[in-house]
Amino acid sequence: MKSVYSELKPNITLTPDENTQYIFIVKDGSSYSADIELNLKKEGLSCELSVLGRIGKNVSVTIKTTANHLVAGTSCVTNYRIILDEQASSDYTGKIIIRKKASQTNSYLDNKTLVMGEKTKNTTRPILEIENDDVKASHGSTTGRVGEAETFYLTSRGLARSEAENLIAEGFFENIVAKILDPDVREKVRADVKS
Amino acid sequence: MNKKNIKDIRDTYDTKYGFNMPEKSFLKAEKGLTEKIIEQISKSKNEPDWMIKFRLKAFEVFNSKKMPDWGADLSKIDFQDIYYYVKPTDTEKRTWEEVPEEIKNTFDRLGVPQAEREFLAGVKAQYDSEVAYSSLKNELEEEGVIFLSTDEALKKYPDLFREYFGKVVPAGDNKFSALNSAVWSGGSFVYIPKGVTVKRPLQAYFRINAQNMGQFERTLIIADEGSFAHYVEGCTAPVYSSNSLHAAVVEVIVKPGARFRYTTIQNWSDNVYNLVTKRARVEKDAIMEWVDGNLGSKVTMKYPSCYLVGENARGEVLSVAYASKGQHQDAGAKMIHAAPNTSSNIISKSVSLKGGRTSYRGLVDITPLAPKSKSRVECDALILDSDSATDTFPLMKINESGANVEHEATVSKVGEEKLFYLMSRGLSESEAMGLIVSGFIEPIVRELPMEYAVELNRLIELEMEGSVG
Repeated sequence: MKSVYSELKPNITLTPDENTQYIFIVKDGSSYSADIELNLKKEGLSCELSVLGRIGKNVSVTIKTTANHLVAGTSCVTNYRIILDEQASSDYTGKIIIRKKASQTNSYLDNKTLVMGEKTKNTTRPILEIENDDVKASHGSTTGRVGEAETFYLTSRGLARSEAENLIAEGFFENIVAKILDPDVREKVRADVKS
Repeated sequence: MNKKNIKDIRDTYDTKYGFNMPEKSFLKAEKGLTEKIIEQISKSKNEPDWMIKFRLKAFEVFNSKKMPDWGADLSKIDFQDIYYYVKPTDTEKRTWEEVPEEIKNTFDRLGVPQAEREFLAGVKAQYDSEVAYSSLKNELEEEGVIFLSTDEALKKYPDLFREYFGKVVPAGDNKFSALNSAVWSGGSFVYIPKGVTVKRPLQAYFRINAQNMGQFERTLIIADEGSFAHYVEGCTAPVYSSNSLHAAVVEVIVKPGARFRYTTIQNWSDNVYNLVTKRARVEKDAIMEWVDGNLGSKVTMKYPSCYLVGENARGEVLSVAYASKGQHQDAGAKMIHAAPNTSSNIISKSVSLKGGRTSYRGLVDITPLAPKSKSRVECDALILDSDSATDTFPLMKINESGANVEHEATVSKVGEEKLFYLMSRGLSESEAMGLIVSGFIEPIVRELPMEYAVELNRLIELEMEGSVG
């Protein structure tokens, strides 16, 4: 499986012909929207689509991802992980569409939002449209703050609160980053996510 | 999988429930919807002035609103091709013996007298838009529990009625609540006094009988502080070639510390459009539970909701949807968190087969007024064959940074290995399917009163068997 790390653009259409991991990072600073469509048109393809990011003060992002299973035997994992700092706002629509011909599909969407600021806004719509019965499709979405227990664990070992929170934020992305197969891409993503 | 083993429940409908009583109605309005018909409805019920005005205003709102551009296909509804009111008898009946024979036969077939004898607290049965029979057990009356038709309650308890009517679901909420507000007839009014626990479930039955009949019952329930009650409704209707419309409104007010459970098993025949607005206002420390079973109808659009307006309020929806050939069940739940420490839980299970379609549509809205709130949604779907489909459209709006929200959904078919496991132990394929489907919906079925659970499990069995039950 190859790993592709690209910049987010307003409209992205991906039609891979080999197994691919796609990684995008939502950059902080200014508000914008992006619509990513991943079309699985080749039988037996297995792909991953990960969108990661941390946004801060008054930044508002609208992200849409669609995993479109058009033929048989494809699988896909979609990840959307975002950290919301002070007054940030995220609007996410994550679609899994499985067409009639797409039997033996396996598709999973995982959406996690970590709230670290106050007065944040988070709207999520994980959508499933399934037209074939011989499939496995599921999604999960969670939103919450860092637990006090986790923060205390780190501060009680000498870290400042802000250091503790940054460590937790890194950890939030780590189990997606660690699964990036290409080592160069993995290190680049790790560095960009930290900054 | 052998498709012959999947027996559509609708095939047994004619013999089991599909019967047509010859109509014997005293007042039958003309078809269609006009101001004149609305005034006619109100006058025949001797309603106070404010209600006539309320109805006419709602009619204006109905005309101004567009049909929803989302959800199931409602394009075949012709609002002018429906009777909006038929009154079967002049007065409500007190005892079973006084009920006209045709109506008695209808409820005989539904098992009402048996259930009433055995252990129900009180039964109100509706036939063609009016409550024809009511009976309150002595113990309910002694405790001050009010369980009447909505029409009766408007006359007997006008102040209480007016205080709450239309406050949880205003006419302008959506096109179908506006329609209901204009032409409502029948339904139940329930008041549970402070601190009272009603041990037996309160029940109601509904039927559409006249061709092109619309059912617009309006239910208003007030559970006063610290009370508990369980209200159960189950409906059936005969099979018709032209479409029937059911646009009910249910308003529930759960006052501080009270708990109320509202259970529905809907089994309308497959030509009925079932478009219902059900909403509860849940106050401080109160709990509201909706148990919603959608088995019948051509189209159902129903999203029982809880407005959690008091601290520590809790809302729950347990929903099961079954869609067979030609059916579309578009159901779900809405939870609005508008106070601190509120919590909500939604469990939805749906089964689609023979080309049926189930859609879960839900909303969890954590407003800035709801710090430390929690919500959990679980929706699972089973698709039993390649002709069927399912969708999930959940929406979570989290505008409070201390909230905890979880949502998960799965879609799958019945695994071959599960079927093999059961069949290798001597069950036929249809028995194995029946067991698996029953197990899939069990978390909801176990919350139903026993007769409903038994009936539901038997319906699933019939569905899976090759023979007529």
